[in-house]
Amino acid sequence: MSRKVVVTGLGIVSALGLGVEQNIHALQNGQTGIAPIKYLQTRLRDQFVLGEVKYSNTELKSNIGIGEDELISRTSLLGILAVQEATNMADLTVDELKTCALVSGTTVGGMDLTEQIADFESEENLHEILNLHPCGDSTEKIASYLGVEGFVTTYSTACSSAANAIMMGARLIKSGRADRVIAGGTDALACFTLNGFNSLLILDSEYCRPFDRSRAGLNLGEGAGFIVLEAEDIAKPNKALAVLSGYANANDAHHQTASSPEGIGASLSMQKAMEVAGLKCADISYINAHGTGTPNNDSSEAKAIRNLFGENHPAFSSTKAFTGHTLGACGGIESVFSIMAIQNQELYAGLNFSEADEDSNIVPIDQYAKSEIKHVLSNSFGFGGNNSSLIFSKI
Amino acid sequence: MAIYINASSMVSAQETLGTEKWPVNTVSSENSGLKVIDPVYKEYIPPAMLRRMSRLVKFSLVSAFDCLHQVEPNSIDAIITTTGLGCIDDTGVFLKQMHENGETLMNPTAFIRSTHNAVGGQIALIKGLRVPNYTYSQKETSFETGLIDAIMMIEEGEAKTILLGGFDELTPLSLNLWKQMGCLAEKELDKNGLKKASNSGVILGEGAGFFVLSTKERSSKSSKLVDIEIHRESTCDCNCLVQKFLDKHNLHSSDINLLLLGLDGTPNTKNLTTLLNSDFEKSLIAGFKHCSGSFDTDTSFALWMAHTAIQNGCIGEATYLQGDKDQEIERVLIVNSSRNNSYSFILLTRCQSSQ
Repeated sequence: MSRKVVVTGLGIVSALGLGVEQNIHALQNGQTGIAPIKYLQTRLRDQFVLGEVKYSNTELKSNIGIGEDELISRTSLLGILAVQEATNMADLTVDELKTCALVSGTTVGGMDLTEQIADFESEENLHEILNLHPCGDSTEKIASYLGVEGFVTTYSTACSSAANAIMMGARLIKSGRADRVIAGGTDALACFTLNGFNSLLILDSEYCRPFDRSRAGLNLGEGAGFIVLEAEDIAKPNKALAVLSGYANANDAHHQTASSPEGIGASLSMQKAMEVAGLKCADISYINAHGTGTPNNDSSEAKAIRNLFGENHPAFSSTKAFTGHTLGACGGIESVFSIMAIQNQELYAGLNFSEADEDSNIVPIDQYAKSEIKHVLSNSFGFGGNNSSLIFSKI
Repeated sequence: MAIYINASSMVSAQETLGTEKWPVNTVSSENSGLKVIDPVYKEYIPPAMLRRMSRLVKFSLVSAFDCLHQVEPNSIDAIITTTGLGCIDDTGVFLKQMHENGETLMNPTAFIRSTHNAVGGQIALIKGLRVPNYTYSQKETSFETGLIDAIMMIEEGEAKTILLGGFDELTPLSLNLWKQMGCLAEKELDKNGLKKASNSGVILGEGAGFFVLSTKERSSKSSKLVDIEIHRESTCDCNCLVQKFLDKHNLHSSDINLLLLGLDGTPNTKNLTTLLNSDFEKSLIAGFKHCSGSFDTDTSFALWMAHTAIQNGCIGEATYLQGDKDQEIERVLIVNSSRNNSYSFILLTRCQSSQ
């Protein structure tokens, strides 16, 4: 690595609340944010539970100070809130913000607005809404709202989008193209995704149970998670919260939407991330697993962890039983959790687990606990066989 | 670190597939848009898989595989795909189904096919490439931001040989949308129209361009990628930005043998017309959007043109705007532009060994 990359700010919005404090409080106390559907206008309202951010668009706009009538996607609103918190925590000045790069991951962009158009052929003034549809537009909106004038781009690699955005952020700094990068992801719930995952038969109508033998699918969620990355050589003294010490992406090359049974891509990305960080298996204190709660993902990920780390694998859990699966944002949200685990020297338990799979027989932690945490591995796996792993280390 | 373009492939409205030369016949643009010439898909993709693929995925995979055939496919250690709107047609199909069926009895096919990384995922799946696989979607600079990441990955030693592609499709919805905004050209666009910049709308297009970038030049057919810059919503004059870019490389306008301009015939790209009357009087100047049509990742078409112009030492007559045609093409500068005064510059040179 040419330049060391440190994390100096965190920002998060999820079903657990607005901001790091509310989110961590819920994790520490085992309170899930998943609940019956309240905000999403869907006919599936009574069939599923969701990890909704508990504010309407009007409330989010008023929180940010945007006029109620302004046409802006929920994806952008969630992103603005998280980026605002992250850049405040990092104490970035207006001038520093100006030269920052912004790399965001999203899968839906402005879909929450697009899907309200009932008929694309006959409706007029479609462009006002459809101009907000591209994934890249949500990122531009966040940049312009916060006064970010540097390099801006957007990843859309399904559920690993935000993790990949963070990797690109690291490359921008290491190559000297940027000194500071805001990286993460944002995704709002949409009927499009709810119906998509429902048609794939991978949603659980009950509360999801990551890694549990009885698990039957995932609960969708929404939110945004961003971190401020800075080159260590320019970061302000005592501002660094953690080091981004390793990262890797690998492709499963198995199936368009399913993971390989033996977790080839997952093993590869975890292994390569440790290589980049110069760490051995025994160095990892905690794995924040992708752990969606689908039979396929969790079985594949559990086997990969078991194969790579052996019987004495590190403590691991999935926080998706708290937030739901936030798709393009989950890599950002879970990076914030991973860094807070290091900051507070604590482990966040999963929820709703009672019995492990027979073949992998590995058990996630189910009790919140104080613990010595040096290196945290965070996994994000997506459709298209896209597997990403990040490693955050104690300063 | 030197980075080379070792292979290229372009599926477009012109007969650009399978050739390294500008095609003999050029299709002229129509206001209904410039659609790609359908390749013989089964020559590139297993027929059993073809049925499950959308048109965008199919023509993008053809371009990707054609490009891979020119190198050792197992040498690829990263895949980067870029698209402005992704699989927008399938997105529309799924939304329509959702509204018509009232969110019941949904068929997942269109949903699976709607993801932006569908093409990147399929390349990995069909070719068994378990390498890093990234997809960028940043509107008109999607391809450029992917190209910057490719350069960074090579510079940082994360990859040595990268397959990079840009693709977008033209759908009835996009035509309707641009028409509603009053941004669709009312008549055919020829190369003289590019310079005038007085049309009210653009000719929409589609296409897929793939490239293999590497730390090592493959043959005399390689070109060297020197630099890329993106200027987002710039307040500076385009000519001034171009001069600064050239200064950075100790070059003067007269060192550029071929200038490829992303003129689209409308006032949106009027800022580029100043380059026609500036210091580039010695350069050969060509346009491309009357041949490719405008689409978010149309810079991939320009890069294909630049790379092949270096290989052949000449450009297609249909793209010629002005300047001396007899000069050797050693350095090519692409200047593309979109709305909001955003620009991208790409500098390409001929390899030493091919001189």
